[in-house]
Amino acid sequence: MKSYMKDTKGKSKNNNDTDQKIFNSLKTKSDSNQFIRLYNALSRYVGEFNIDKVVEEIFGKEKPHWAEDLINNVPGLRAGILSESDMSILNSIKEKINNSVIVRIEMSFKPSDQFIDKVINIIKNTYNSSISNVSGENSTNFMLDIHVKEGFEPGAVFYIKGNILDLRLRRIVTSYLLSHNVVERYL
Amino acid sequence: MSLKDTYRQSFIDVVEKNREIGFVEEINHPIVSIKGLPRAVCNEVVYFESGCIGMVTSLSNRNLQVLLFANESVKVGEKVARSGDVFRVPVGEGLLGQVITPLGTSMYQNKVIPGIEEYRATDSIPLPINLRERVQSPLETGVSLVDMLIPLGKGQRELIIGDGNTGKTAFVLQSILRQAQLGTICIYAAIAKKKSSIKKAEQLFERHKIKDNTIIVGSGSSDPIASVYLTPYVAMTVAEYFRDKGRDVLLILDDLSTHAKYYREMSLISRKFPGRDSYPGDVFFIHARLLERAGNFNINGKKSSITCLPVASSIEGDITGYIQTNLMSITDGHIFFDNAIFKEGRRPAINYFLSVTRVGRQTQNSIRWGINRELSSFLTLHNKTERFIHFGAEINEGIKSTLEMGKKVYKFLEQGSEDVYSANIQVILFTLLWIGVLDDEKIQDYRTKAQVLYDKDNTFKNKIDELINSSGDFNNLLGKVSASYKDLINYIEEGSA
Repeated sequence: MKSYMKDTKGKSKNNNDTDQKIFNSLKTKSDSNQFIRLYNALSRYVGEFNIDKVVEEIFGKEKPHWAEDLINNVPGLRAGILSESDMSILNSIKEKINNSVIVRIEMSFKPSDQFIDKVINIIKNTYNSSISNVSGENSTNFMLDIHVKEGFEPGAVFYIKGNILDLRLRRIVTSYLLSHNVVERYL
Repeated sequence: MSLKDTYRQSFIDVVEKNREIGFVEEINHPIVSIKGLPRAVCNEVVYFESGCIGMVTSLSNRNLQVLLFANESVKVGEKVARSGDVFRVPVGEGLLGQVITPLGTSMYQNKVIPGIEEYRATDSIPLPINLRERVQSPLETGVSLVDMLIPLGKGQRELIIGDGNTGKTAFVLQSILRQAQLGTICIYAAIAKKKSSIKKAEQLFERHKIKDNTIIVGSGSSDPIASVYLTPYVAMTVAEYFRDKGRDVLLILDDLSTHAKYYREMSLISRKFPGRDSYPGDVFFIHARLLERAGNFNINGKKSSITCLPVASSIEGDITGYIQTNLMSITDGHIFFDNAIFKEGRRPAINYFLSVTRVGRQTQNSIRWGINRELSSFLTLHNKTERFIHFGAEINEGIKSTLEMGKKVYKFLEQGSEDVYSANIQVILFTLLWIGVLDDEKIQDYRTKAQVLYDKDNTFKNKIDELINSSGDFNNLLGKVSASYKDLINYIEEGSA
């Protein structure tokens, strides 16, 4: 009995790690939407399926970047039949998506993957450290909702939980010049 | 710059000022769910990126609900910014003579209202009891039946109730006519009325040259629900402005049963739990907190009052409806307009026996009190007698005279929808009727002539006033008028000739 409990605990911990790992690869809101589309399609399947065909049916030839991670980490997907533990991983990812905080970013260009990773890490570290300092809450997951706007000034504007962080270059430079009284000191 | 552009600019300004943003998550027009705006408070005004405005109505952990002040809807995902201030309306002397919307703008397109002095929150706390006083001065409505039998006092809240098209609005407009003539500030809140009805009310005030003492706060039936919902609150806020200036205010809320229906619609859309007749649980509260703001006040020695006459519609004469009984319990009495009386052709169609005034009688002097007593007991007797003769009983002299007098009294109480009479003219004419020198053919004619004379002939006015003021009570007045009625009648006939 004891050993069984130990086993289940270990299994559940493994599942947690897996779903967090897959969730981390879903960095943006559009990635999450794609995942939800796949999840809905899989839940409609009865019997065996071919995951590559399913993915192709939904997304066409261009496979989402996170799909490989998902297929490799959820054994049932490759086998073509989902077990209970596979479903629990998928459900847990879906839950994480629902509970994540959406960070809206408005900027003039499509950001690179490195940029997105960096942004997520900065936000996650800053936010989670401030929250755990105050209330001891568990870490929060974030998701980027990137809006590329043509003609937007260089820089970006972040909207996090209703607060605005305006990091447009012109604004930063202006506020720097004003705060250091540059006009009177140098001109 | 159009209003929409102004709100768009305000959106940019408040984003800059408050550094907070929300996004439209769900729309059940006119209720919009917003995610974000972490520091928003209830009743706070919010600006939408598209140039609409709204007001926060409820807050929860997940989102906040906003009531939209526009007929056109917003879009999901649209940005919303909070203004940092609760909903306020412009008030000032400049509002006198204007027809305004609940947002404080003129109902006429492109008309700017000058003379705005301040902006006031529409949801203020009623004044505490240490600033209130007993209702003690009478409020003339100019309608004989009400002034003599169901008298009102300044600061009283009296419900006007009755079926549709029984003359409720005509009565409240008559009260405005009389009170505006006496210098009271009169505010008419037309709640979800036809625009043509609002225009008619305005024209009536213009025709009687009382526009400078009146304000119409109006919302049309096609206006956004938010405008309809806010109309009585805005009207009360304007009334409070004049109260704080030491003025007496008469406020008409026409009508609160429609207001309750709009509030029900709003509440059901915002998923508030429905209660009796599908009204939300707080429908009593929204009317009670509104009407509690009226009353008779003494603010640091400055006396003022807000007399409030809310109107409520009944269906088939049933005054036991949910909203009707709520309002009855909040107010200090009610005047019931009876459809049966209306169909008999009597105007105003007030059923005296089903009407109540709880604080009005305490404001009457001994003469008016005497008239009230005599008239009430006579009408009760007349009513009993009329029921008695239905059985085909033999009519003796006593019954015959009661019926004849009843006919005269009812003729005396009849009044056109734009006729208003001053209290002293009503007293003198009633006294003449009571001593039996006026027959029912001449009553209306004499009263109109006497009123015209009273308004333009100071000698006549002084004579009447002196006659009434020098009489201690109604019996004394009866004696004096009996002695001099010929002079009075001659004066009226000659003066009007």
